[in-house]
Amino acid sequence: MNRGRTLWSLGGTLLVAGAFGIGTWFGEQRVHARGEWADARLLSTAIDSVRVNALDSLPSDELIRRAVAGMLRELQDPYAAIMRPDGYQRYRGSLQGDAQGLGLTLRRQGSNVTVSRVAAGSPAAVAGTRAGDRVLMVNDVPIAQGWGRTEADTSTAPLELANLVLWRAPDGDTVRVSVRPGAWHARAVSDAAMLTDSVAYVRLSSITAQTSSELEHAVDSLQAHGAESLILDLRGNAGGLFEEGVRAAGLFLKRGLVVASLDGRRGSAPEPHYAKKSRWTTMPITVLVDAGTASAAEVIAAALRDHRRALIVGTPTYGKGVVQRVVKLTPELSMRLTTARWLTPNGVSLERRHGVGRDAKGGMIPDVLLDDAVRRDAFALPRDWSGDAVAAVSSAADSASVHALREGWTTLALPSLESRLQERILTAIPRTLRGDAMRAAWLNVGTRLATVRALEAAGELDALLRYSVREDGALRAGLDVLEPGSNLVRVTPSSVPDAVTARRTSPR
Amino acid sequence: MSHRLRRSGVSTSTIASTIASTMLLLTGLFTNVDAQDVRSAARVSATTIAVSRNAERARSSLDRWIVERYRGSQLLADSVSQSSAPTSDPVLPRIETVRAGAAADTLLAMHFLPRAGRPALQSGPVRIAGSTGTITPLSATVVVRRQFRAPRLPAARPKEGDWRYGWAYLAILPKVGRPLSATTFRGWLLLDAAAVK
Repeated sequence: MNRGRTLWSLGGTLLVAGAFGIGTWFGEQRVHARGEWADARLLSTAIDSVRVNALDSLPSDELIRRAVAGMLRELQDPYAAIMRPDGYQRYRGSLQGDAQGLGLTLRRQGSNVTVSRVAAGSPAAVAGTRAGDRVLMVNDVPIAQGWGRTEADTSTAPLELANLVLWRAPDGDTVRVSVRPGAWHARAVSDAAMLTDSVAYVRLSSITAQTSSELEHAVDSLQAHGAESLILDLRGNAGGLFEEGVRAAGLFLKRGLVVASLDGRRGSAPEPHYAKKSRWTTMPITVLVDAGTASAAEVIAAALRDHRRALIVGTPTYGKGVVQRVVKLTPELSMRLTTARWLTPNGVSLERRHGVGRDAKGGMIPDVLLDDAVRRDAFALPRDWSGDAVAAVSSAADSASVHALREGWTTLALPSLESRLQERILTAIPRTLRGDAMRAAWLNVGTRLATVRALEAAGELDALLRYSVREDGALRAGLDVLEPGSNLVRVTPSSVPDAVTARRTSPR
Repeated sequence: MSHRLRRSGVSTSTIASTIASTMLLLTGLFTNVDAQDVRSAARVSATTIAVSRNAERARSSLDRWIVERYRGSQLLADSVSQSSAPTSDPVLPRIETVRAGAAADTLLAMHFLPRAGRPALQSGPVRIAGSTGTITPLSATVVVRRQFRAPRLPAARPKEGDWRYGWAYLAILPKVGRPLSATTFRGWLLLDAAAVK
């Protein structure tokens, strides 16, 4: 009986205590809510007051937008932003891989403007433009006159149609193409080729909605061509979608391994993201990175390194260790906000921190640390040469490459093509060049330029990539990991003939 | 050897240190550049101190370059005699780093081999060739060289497959009468001067 009474009194006490606790909590919530409403009323009153009383006021919607923008600025989140519908569409489109324009990349050397790249699937590609085409005129304006004009110099109307007059090697045909700017899907895999009989090369230039499936397709196709190892080039890849980065890295990891974790607001445990679709868990890989490698691209590099799947080659990465979410505020206004930090499988954040000392920087320090890992352009001319020297070597290389195309030399093995082109360039060394060292350097640059131009115009893009390894230190270092001592294009040392040296130095 | 030492008037402590160095050389812990210095020290001590210091500075500079460039790499002793023939593999060390100086530039070049092997160059004069193989009239001097091995995977294990072997060279290129800037030479090649006609 006593025992029953005790239980009843204990239950009653607990009930009273519980009711008191719940009452207190509700009370606090109400006070808190009242506080928040008071703050919101303050903001609303301030905006009204500015609108009514300020000497140079703005419309209400603009005041509100700027108030929100100011709030984001005070958060010191460099990635936070207010977006209008067009900005939101552009941002969303960039993550989906949508591109807009002609799809042409041009290269200017001396007075020549050449098409250096045509984006696959772009309006320029559909119209039949090829890498290596020289642009003579755009909408009846000679390129020499039009190059360098800004929008202010020309009509402000957007370009509706580009009528291009192109010069095409080897026959010197003049080709007319009309390209209408438009939208296309820019592939995340911008290059995929066999570097050697067994080493494949894939360059990912962004991490967009279909990156992992494009990467999977590219590696599948290269494997069918004999690929046993892979150089994955993430240089200049500013990232994109975190989840796609996780999927892409997961292709090379065992199923179930942690690729990265998202660490949100304080109090919640990091949320791991796992490798789900494993494909190549033993294929040797080298990853190339530089200061332009950021965000989801860093997710891939860090996961492959932490799981000992790949050696990282290049220079320290950017260090974007956070992810953003877009919140739609109104149909006209969206807000991008940093909502979490991502951690590598080893639990490290790569977020770049400002400050002093060795620990002030974020990013990833590569296993093979180079002086400079920026992608080298095999078409580049020496920066410290005079304008005359550049024009002369460019013109000599052009003429030699056209000769090579006409003679069908581009079908020869690379060392033979190079040696024949070197003989042609030798005869074009300017008389004004002083010193044997300068003549040798001129011959070296001229031979390289003629070779790459001939390969580009012939559409020998795999051979062009192999040849470019000589100029691209990071690619060479990556290949050295997978195939130490590999000699892609055998270099045959050759002297500048005495006859040429004597002819050039003798008094005229 | 003892006869030569006695004639040059070297102290007992120098003899002891020479013997110690020779022992270290035999055990593979010293490199042959040090061995040369030891032999030179026995003959002309005054001049060799400076040479030795320069060589030591160059060696530590090359070693630092290797370990900073290749995380987890291991430096190996150069056990190959200067007089023995270089590798028969057609490898040409490529200039990867150029450091500009007041009177001369420092070139750091390297190459990997399919397996541990002989170097491509001996210490001494070398010629510089462009990336296409065009030999320039420019001559540099290889001051030190170093064999090393570098990981092929992060946190490489002791098993051979996790490693690759290479040779690194530090060469000095005087600035006198040279029309090309130092940065031009990155990606260019070093050639054995004796092999150039």
